[in-house]
Amino acid sequence: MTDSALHLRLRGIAKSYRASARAANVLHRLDLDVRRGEFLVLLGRSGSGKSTLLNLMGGLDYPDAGEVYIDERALFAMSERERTLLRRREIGFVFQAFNLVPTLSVRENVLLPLELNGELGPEAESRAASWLAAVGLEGYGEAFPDELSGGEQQRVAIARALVHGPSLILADEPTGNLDLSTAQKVLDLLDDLCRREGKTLVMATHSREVMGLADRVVSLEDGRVVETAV
Amino acid sequence: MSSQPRASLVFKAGWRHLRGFGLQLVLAIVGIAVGVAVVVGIDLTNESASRAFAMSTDALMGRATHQVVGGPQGVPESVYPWLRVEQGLRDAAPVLELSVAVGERELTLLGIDPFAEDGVRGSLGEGEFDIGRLIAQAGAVVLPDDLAAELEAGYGDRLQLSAAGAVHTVEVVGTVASQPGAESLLWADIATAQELAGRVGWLTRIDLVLEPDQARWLEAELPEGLELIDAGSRRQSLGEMSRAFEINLTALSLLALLVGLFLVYNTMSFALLRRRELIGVLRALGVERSQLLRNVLLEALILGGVGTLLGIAVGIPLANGLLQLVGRTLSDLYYARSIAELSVAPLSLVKAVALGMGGTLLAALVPAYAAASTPPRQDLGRSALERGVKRRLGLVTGLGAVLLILGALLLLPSDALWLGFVALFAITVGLALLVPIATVGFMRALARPLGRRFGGFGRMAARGVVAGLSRTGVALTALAVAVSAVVGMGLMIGSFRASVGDWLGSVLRADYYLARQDDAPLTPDLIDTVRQLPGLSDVSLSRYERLPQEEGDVSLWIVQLGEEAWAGFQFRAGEPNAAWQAFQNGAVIVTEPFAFHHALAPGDRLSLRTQEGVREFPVAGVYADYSSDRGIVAMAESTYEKWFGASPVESMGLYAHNAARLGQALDELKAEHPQLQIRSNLDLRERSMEVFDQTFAVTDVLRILAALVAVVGVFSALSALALERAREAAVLRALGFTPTRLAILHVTESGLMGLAAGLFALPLGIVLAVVLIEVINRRAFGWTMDFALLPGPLLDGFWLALLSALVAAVYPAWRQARAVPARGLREE
Repeated sequence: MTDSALHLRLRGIAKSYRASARAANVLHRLDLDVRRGEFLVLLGRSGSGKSTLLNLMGGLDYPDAGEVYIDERALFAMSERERTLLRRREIGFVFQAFNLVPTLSVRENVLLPLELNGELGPEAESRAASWLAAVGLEGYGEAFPDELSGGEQQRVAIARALVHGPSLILADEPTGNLDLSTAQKVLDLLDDLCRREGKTLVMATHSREVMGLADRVVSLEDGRVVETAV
Repeated sequence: MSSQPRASLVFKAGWRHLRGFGLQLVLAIVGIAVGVAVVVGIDLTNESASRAFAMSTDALMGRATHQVVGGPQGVPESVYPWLRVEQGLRDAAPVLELSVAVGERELTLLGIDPFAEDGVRGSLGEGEFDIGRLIAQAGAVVLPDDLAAELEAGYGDRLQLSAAGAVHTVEVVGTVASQPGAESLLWADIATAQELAGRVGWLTRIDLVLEPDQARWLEAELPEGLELIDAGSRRQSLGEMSRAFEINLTALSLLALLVGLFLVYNTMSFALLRRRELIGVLRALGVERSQLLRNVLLEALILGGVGTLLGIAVGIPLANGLLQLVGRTLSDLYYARSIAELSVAPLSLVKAVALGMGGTLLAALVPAYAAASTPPRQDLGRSALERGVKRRLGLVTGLGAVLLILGALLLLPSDALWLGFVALFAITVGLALLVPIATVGFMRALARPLGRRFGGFGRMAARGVVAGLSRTGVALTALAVAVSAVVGMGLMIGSFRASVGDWLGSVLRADYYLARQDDAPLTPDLIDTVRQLPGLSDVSLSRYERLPQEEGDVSLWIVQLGEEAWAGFQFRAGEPNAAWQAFQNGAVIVTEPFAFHHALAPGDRLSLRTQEGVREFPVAGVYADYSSDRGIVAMAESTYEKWFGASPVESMGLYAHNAARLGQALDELKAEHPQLQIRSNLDLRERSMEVFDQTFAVTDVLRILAALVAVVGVFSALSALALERAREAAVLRALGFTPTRLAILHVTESGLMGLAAGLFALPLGIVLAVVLIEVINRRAFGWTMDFALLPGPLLDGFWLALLSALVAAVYPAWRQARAVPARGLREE
């Protein structure tokens, strides 16, 4: 595998949490490579460190040791501001709890990453509208998050994660709060859009149903990565 | 096995949850403590002032049930042996009361008959003094221990004592144990006092202990010009002198209480909002509503207890500070003796506990009930909570409107002061309840232009306030109420000040005012000298006299006025020209407060005790005067001389046709007579305004406290809001918000709240000021004053709201911006 094909490289990542008097080691000197355009599923039990790993990939948390490289740029060698700007331009997040901004309408939620990247005006509006159409929510633009169902909210979250054209999508249990049928629809949509756009998708889940869609599946066991056959 | 989870575990779960919010918990306690401290501070100040007053009245009147009083000269000395020897009334004690000074220390000298004291006043009490020398030696005095120590005077020492415009040497012949209320008294034999006062042959009064039938008999037997008055009713009327001042302070403490209750409500609501998921889980586990309610109220009691104890601990030194501030005003205006000591009345502490604990329970009841009665599934959803709040918005608004109308209606039917306060309270709460709906409207209106200017960022700031209305609404209301109290008091005091300034400009017509520094009468020679000064066109002469009456002393202002001086009177009732004619011919004119307290109007008659018994004087007019809240009766010098005898002159108003020349001549006169005090018109006006400002200095402190309560309230609300929105903030960080941008969003949102609170506080403050001016001040004092819509207090209030919201936002914004986003995302 050439370096240019590598999108994400994790080296020697360690992370522990202090609970009461003792420290719980979540990740032990973990190494992981993710290719550009790959759909990687992170499998693991609850508390295995999947979300922690995703947060570290996105620069939302700090490792105790190790480094995350995105396109060979060391994430934790950057300043907080540089990390934020990289996240703003190149990473899209999809969360289990949808995490839409409750004070913004559906349209405004999708517009937000564009606005943060300085993209305003009719072009941004039409991009937001086309992404809402892509997730099957045309006509919902003026609704507020609390007026939508869980599946609809997650579709808005997917549109928001993709609208500004990030190359890396980090999805943390995106179907964890949805019923089976809605979950399947959301997964298909995410898979379809990422493949169509050539995005790298790293999805944390404990659901084995997702495995069929993934290019590669890795398990987190005792804080280390174990390759699993698809 | 019990089907219910153990109550102790349920309580522990809630309590540990509450304890986890260190800062919130501290703020809750601070909120309760500040509210209690302000109320305790003011209550103790009032209590101490009243107690000091009661004790000094006791020291002066002792067991006396009645007093024999006369006209302005007092009671002829011969009445005393007539009562005691001829009529056999053994419990009779004469007194001649005299204001004196030793150096800068102002004191009251009581001329007494030491042998008559025991049965009536017992004012000398225990002590070591030479009673023989006290009676026989001219200029012998006895002091209380503490005063002797203060003046460093012991047995046989001599003191220089100023009395009645002259300096005398007196000798200390003993000390007595200090008694509360008698710290500023010294005693002499009646003959010594008469000499010092220059009133040989006269007494101020004779105190008596009488049975009811003896009193009836004596009333009929007293010689012409004397009157027997009931000491009880006199005590009561003396006590009422300072009540008006207390009322103003109490009004302020009620506002502080209201804001304090908002704070408690605010804090408890936040604590419960933060816990809604825990409540949901506990309810899902089968915990009953009543059990949750009990536990929450128990927590409130614990918080209220700690806050109350702290509040009392802070309130006592606060009262000490306030007492220093109001003490001088009260001494100047009412008591003429110092209020040195703070007395911690147990009842004040009981009130504080009832307020702190009861207020906390009451304020916690609504959110506790709401939390306990929500279905378990809904507890887990935040949007459900906000929807609930929005549903209740209509109810809150309706209640506000009803209270507002009720308050307005309560102002109509009567002139009762307490009803005025109830109306003020209802109007304040009513307007406060309209703040949330106004917030929603204001923020919605603002979202569009902010969106146009700042994009989604601007819209988020405006909508964030509405979206978190369950939290922002209460904080904004508390801030608006606290600021409106500041604005209302500021406008009232500003209007009062403007009216006083206007009045002084009108009434102070002379170019110069002349009096002796010790307020002693001016000699006829000096008056003649002044009349001859170059540059002088006219003079007015005046003197204040205190006439003892059963329903309290009447301040009589005896004046000889020219037409120019008369033109300075602002008549509130009566026609000025007709009043002038009547005044010259024996009628009196009274000030507005006097007319109010005695229910007088032009055409009515005022009874005053003259040398020849009680006489009725026609009232020719009511004029504006802000110098005394008890009121003054103005009488022409010729009228006074006719009914009361000769009147010595104490001060002169000098009108110049050549002010420069007159000024120069007065400088020369002052060099010759250093005891004279000569003030120019401007000087006197400035001095009067200084006195006014000093009188209201205490309100400045209370305004600062109100502002402090407001800042604590907003800080508490914003900290809670920041905790609430940790997840939202983390999402924004994940989307690419920099920490700075996030902090700016937080501060902007808070600034918008401050802006809204500042704007809402203005009309609320104006309404409060109008009610204070038109209702409270009129019903308490009888003063009318023009409402002045001054930009100063309005701007002060607006900036106070905005700045306190911005300052309060800094720390929560800083914390939120520094937070690790992953932690926020993990938190649910």
